[in-house]
Amino acid sequence: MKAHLLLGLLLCSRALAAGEGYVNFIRQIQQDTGVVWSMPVTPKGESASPLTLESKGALFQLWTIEQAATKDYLLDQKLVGAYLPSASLRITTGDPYSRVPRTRADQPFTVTYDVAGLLAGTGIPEAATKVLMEHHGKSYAPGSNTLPAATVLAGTPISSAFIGTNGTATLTFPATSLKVADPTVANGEEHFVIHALSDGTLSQTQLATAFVQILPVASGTIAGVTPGQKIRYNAPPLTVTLKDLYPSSYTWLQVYPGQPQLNTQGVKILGSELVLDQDRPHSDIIPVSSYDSVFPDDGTYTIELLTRTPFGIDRLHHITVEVDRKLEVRAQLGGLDS
Amino acid sequence: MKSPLMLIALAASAVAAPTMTDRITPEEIAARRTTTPLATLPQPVAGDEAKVARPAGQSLIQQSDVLNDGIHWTLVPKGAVLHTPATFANRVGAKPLGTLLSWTEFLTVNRNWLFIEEVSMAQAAGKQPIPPSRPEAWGKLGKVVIAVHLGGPISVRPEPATPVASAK
Repeated sequence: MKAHLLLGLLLCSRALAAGEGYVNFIRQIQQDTGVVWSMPVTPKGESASPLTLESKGALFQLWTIEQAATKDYLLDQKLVGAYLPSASLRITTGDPYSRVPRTRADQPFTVTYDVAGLLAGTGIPEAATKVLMEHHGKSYAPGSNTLPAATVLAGTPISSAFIGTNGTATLTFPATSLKVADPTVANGEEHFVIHALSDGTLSQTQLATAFVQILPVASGTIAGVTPGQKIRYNAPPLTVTLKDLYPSSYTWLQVYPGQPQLNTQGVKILGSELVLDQDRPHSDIIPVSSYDSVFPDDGTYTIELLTRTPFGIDRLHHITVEVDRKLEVRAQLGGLDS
Repeated sequence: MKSPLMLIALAASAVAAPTMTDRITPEEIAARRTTTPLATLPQPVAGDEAKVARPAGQSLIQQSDVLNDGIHWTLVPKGAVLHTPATFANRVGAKPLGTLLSWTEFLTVNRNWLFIEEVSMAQAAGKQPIPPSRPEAWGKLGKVVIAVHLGGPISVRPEPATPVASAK
């Protein structure tokens, strides 16, 4: 039996394929006959496959080739068949960024899967009764912010499980599962894949994939003053060192009277603000000077380094100083000899 | 009346100042991820991984034939090149040098030495022979012949050999 396939393939699903210097190819590999068809594609968009779907289905592969390095990357692949289960995956994070799902290493995210076409009963082949879901993860190489999906999915999964019922369900992951010594600096991708179970005749078994980009938690320090330091005249110049600021964030220094207290609103120090809206974390060193106006009176003040992200405000560092500008004249009036 | 109240509540939460926290520690993250949500589902046993095929070691370039005109190159599936005259042998299976073009772009600029032969899926699968008149025509064209189906290059499997009747 044959069925006509109508499959929408979304191209350029990853940043890797979106830029200049890449050419995309879609291959359809018929599982019954092994025939390979190269679908004529436009750089971006959706297309329905006009080919007849054979009984064992077809494997669709989205490839891109990097011009400069003549290197090919398998961006995505999906097995579709009239007698195969079907599946979809969606990842939701607290960051509204739309190009790829991304989140921070400490933040939760959800994976929603939808499986259809599974059969129940006795005497049914195992492949028709369940699918295998796998969770893979891999850190980026230094300086990189992308990974070929095939590289991540080829390794040993972090965890896996069978799904044996049709329908939609959501799994909540409380934080990153990337294996790094310090999970606050985890930076990589977590991929989820649902496989059909092969009876030995399928060249690939991937039914659905989705991935989330994991970004590190920012850190930072204020240098130039020490805790408890007395500021008598001009406030000393500060050096703010920032590491791994979230790609969509606003970072600043604020000052308020008194001891450190979370959720206190202070006065922003001009020249300390940094606004980011980009696709990768950012590190920087910001010199700050001429901020005496934030200390209107003598007393105890707290200087805080704050960063606002889609997940809230994080205090990265704080220092308490004493401002004492009283002019004391210590003199001794001697007697006048006449 | 619920809807307006819900909208007001959402609006209030949207404008509320976000909570400020100190930077999270590695220990706090570790405490959050003591178990995986997948552990709540039936677990595979040893050997179940063998029932899935992972996309390791695949290469589009290696699974294809490279066509190169000296300036541009493109890819077609292995088996899509039906005929190569000796004159153009160095343009088929060549090295991927120059500017990579999509198949459609490459064909547009190289029609002087490329010819496309539309084949059916049955012919591509080797279930139906290509009429003998076609290879004869290709020989006279003096061009490299690429099999296409609906405009896209397609691999053509050799037609299965006709079984020879055993002599009695």
